[in-house]
Amino acid sequence: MTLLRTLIVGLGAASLALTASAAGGAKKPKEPDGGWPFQGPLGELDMDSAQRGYQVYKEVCASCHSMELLSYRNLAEPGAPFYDSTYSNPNDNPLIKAIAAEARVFDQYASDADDDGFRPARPSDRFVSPYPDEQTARAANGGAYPPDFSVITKARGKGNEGDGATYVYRLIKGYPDPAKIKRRTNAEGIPETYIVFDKDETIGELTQPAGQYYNPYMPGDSSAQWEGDPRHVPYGGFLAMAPQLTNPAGDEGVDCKALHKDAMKRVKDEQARLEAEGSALSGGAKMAILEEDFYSQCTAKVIYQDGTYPSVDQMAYDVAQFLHWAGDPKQEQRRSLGLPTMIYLLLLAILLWFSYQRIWRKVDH
Amino acid sequence: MSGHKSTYNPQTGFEKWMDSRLPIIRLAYDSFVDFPTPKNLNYWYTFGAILAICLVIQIITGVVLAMHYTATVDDAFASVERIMRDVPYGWLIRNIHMVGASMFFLAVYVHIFRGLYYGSYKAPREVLWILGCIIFLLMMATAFLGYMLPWGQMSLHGANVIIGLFGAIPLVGEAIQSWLMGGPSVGNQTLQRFFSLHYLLPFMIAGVVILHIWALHVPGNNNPTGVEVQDVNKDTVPFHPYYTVKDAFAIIVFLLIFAMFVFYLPNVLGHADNYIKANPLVTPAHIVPEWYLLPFYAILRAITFDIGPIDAKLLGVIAMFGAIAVLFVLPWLDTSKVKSMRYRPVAKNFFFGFVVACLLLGWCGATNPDNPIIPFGSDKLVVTYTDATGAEGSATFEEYTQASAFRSEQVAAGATASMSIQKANAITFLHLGQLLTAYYFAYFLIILPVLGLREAPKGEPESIHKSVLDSSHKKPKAKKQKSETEPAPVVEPVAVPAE
Repeated sequence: MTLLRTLIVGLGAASLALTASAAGGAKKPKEPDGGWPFQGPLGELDMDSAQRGYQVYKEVCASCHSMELLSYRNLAEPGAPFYDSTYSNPNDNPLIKAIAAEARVFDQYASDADDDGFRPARPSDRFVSPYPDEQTARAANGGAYPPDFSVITKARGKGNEGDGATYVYRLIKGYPDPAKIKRRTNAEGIPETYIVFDKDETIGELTQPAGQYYNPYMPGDSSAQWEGDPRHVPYGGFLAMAPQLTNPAGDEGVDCKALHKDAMKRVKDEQARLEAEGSALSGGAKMAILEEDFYSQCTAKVIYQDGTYPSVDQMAYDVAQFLHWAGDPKQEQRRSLGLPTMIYLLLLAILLWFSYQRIWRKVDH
Repeated sequence: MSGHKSTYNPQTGFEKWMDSRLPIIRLAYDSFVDFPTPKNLNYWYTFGAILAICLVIQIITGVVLAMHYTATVDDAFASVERIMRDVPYGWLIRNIHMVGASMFFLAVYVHIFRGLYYGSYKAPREVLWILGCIIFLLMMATAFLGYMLPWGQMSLHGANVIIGLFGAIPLVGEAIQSWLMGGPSVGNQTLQRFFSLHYLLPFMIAGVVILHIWALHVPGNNNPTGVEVQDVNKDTVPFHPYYTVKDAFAIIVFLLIFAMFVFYLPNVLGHADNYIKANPLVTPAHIVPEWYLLPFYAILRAITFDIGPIDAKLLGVIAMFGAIAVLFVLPWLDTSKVKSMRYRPVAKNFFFGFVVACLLLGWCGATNPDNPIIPFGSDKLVVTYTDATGAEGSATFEEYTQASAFRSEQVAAGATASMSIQKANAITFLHLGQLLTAYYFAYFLIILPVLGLREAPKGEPESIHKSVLDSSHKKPKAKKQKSETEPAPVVEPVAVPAE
């Protein structure tokens, strides 16, 4: 018992030492409400969410951020968002073939190469990067290099399951409310934007450098841009990425959330009606209803094929979940092998305990 | 034990044939089956076996990883990720190896503290202890080299810091530095030699482990009483099955903790920055070593002052290596005749203080040394200005509004003014680290030598079996057995009636 207690104390001290190691200026990201579904020994990725997350990545993030370590086939391997048990070889999965074929790979001697030497990507190809190299990427992004996303969730946080996803989720959502960003012309006559802080002790104005955007979750130091008490500088720093996600929005007076709710109700009714007739609502018909009742009036950043309302919160949650999978694509196998291993070791420990008791029963010790 | 006669009796024809040519089966039998072992070893003594398992696990997983790893700066990072993604069960092998390094150190620290507490370094086990220190040193080197291989940000910049330490050595420092790096900076050639050495050192560890076990089996095990075996029949039991089963139980419990990290928290013991590919142009905000090297890192950083001609950097390096070197001479520093701290009432307290100091040093190593622990007062604002005449001045304020107004006044009057923070005086992690470093060295260099001469030891038992008998009579289990044969009068606790 003392041994166990000492071990726990030792581990506790070690983890204390670790938590203290990464204290920085950025705001500590808080998990989404209810945590992540993949946390805990019995956790599993929400595959619907991860699929939507891939869509967000492809339609929004992928225009700047590469994922060099992933291949299209990875998306359909066991434990991946698009895994389909009918295709034991992920390269045969038609969905993945279609996803891959949307990208073009430079391969001038391939039989299906076009005149410029590009062919449609195959499931075995790596994700095609948006830029050929870092220099081009920097040139296109005002000198900043959009980091590769392959292991971004492992590269943030403190190594607890979900730390990286939480960081991604909070960073995407963490930009200040656009209403709080004000414009002015500085002493040199150059227009600039600034943010007014008026909460607690952090009172003052934070000027955003040209082409830079403030985010409390971005590691960095904002003190050089801060006009206010230097002892209470706002959390975080600046990044070259403008806020990318927006909530669905329509004309003045249009309530997109309500419209979506009504549209989904119509989808449900239609489903019920067709089920009673013995058939089912096709994906196309469902999207047609959503298009007619919702997307025709509200512009959304991403049109989710499963009908989910594409709020900033939802998109951030989904893409964080997808990136969490991508950072550790064998995590479902890892967790599912973990429990039987632990149970096996526990039973073995119990058996050995009784063996120990029996062998030592006649020896005073 | 050296005095112990071999009881091996070859049964089969092959065993007899082998025994007259190479008595290796006899060696194994005498060392691990009929080896007389004190019967009072507690669970702290199982960590030797746990460490042997750790070494085997690291070597096996490491050999497999090396089959898939590419030691070039362009491909190392991606090849480690390829192992995680495409090699069958590569994720498992790599997680075991990565977590295994931490578990190895966890076990070795317990093992070392156990040796310190029960005086296992004292005669006749000095060589055993020194061999253990060599293993510890080799382990630290191996772990440091291995941490470089994924070629993440911490790999590169950690290597820069550690190799930079050698630069502090006068005259030859820079030459040693470039010899280690294989060039003017940490680069591809460094990675390749580190990989080569990372593969070599574990086998050197294995070699020294054999010597360590040999040196253990000559005088035999120490034990919690610190009293040597006097009567083999009364004081010892054969290693097998008594300690094989006890060690096996402890190993499995240890593996449970190990597996918890492998399957559920594989990255929690590492640093997230190491999943960012190494970039010499970007330095991480905080360069920290792996947790198991943090106490030594804290000692390195605690030395911020020059002593005579020796500058702080070199002193820090001397202190860091000295913290390990002092372990080598410990058998001759501790003057007490009594081995086990069980019977050293004063030394025991200093020992527990030493354990706490090591843990706190780890905390200091992980924290920015300038961070305050106990601040005296609050930070103030200082406005410094140079007015139109060129005169300089400054004023200190508590409130920002006052400081800001004063600055505006100065600017309006044609001066240039700027505001900065005047940190409140505080006890910082640097101070704590310095205090703990002082205690670390004082423990070995002052407390143990002096205390051994002055302390009055208490209640050392005559022999192992006597101590076992005494303690088992105190146990409730032993009482119960007694009462079965000879019913003792039962004394019911009487409740005192409340007035």
